[in-house]
Amino acid sequence: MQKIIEVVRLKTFEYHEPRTLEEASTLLSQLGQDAMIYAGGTDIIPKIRYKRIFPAHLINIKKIPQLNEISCDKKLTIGALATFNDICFSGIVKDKFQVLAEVCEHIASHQVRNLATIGGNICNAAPSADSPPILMVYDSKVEIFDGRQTRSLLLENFFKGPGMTDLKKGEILTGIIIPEVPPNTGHAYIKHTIRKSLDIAIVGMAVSVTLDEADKCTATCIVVGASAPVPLRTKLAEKYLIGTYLGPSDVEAAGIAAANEISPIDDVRGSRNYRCEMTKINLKRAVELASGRARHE
Amino acid sequence: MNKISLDLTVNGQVYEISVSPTLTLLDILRYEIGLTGTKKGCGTGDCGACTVLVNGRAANACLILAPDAKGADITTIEGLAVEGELHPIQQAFVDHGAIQCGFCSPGMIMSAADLLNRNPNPTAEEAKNAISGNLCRCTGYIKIIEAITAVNKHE
Ligand code: FES
Ligand code: FES
Repeated sequence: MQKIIEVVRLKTFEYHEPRTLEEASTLLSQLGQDAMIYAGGTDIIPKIRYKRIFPAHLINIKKIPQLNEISCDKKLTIGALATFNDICFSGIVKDKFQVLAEVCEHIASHQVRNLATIGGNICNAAPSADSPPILMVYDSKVEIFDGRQTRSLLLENFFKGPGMTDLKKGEILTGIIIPEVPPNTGHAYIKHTIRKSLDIAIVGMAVSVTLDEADKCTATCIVVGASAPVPLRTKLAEKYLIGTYLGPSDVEAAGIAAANEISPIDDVRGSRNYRCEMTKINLKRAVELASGRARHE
Repeated sequence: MNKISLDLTVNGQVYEISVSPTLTLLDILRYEIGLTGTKKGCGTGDCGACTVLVNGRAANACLILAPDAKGADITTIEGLAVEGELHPIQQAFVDHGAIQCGFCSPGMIMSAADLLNRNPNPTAEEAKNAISGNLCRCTGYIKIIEAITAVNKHE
């Protein structure tokens, strides 16, 4: 029996269970690079098992109260420890941030969504992650605590590369703030995958569109996932849409611009060329969906 | 390695154990408590064979570190039948031939039980969604979906 347990045990690490954010942040700075925050565990445990990471210390922040709360007073605040099921089952989110709820409802699998946290999904900084693109087109900010004070940062500026973020030593992401959705604004996220569940996006396409009374596009945000070192906001592509009535040629021009802005890699999921083509196609589909929703607002 | 002590309730019974924090809930269930109904397929959250209910919600036992099981109320496949009488979802799996080798079945059935708790009369689409994190290598999914959607139909 003893032998079997040896086989299944994860590589040894020291386990810590801080009760406050201050304590967690102090631990994180003291223990340095060998320490990692443990939240949902759905990413960290497989990575330890596959021997991709070797943390000497895991700091479990789940015993810190209130970090999983979701609240709304015009702006929506989502605690970093809210799980994807917390979010997609939340009445407020379903009601006012419907597309976010839909995206969360299709991440990974039901079992994983009961464990995986939105803060973890962001901090892993996987270029293919599903929640960052949609959060970015909702204009989200993240709140970051350094042991003494909290700073906030546009999510767009949080990602620095695959697995790399703006978090400095001792800093912990504590929540996500989404401002009230402006009137006549619609959102869409299209995840291009082979399998609907438990699959990683080949291309993720998130779009928001704001229209005026005459259906002219006054603002837009386009974010492409899995096609650059970070979830990429394609600002050039946006310029092709602002001030237009989103006619076929405008949207096509924006698609070509987006395909030029991204820098996808060839991998098992898809080639660079395929990703560029799907970016053009899904940009068109996502703009159509988002603008349809903006009209129905 | 420092051990941690924890108490958890599994199928209504309280266990007090002392384990390494590097073990997962799955390891605890199978090797510490000896409940081997919960299966280990991948160990990385992909196959769903280890699905159990944690405080009433389906979760992958292989992705939960031992300390997080502290104080939790766990239901495993062994906890579904009452006094030797199969749970309706177990009976439905038998009646619909939704089991072949049976390796995926405990996880499938726990996912289905979680769905039926939330939604007693699921559509085929809802059943598909609920088991999308459970892989079956032999039965195929059709009979499993038939079993899940039939549970509360013939009452
Ligand atoms: S063993 Fe847990 S999901 Fe495969
Ligand atoms: S019955 Fe064999 S894996 Fe599903």
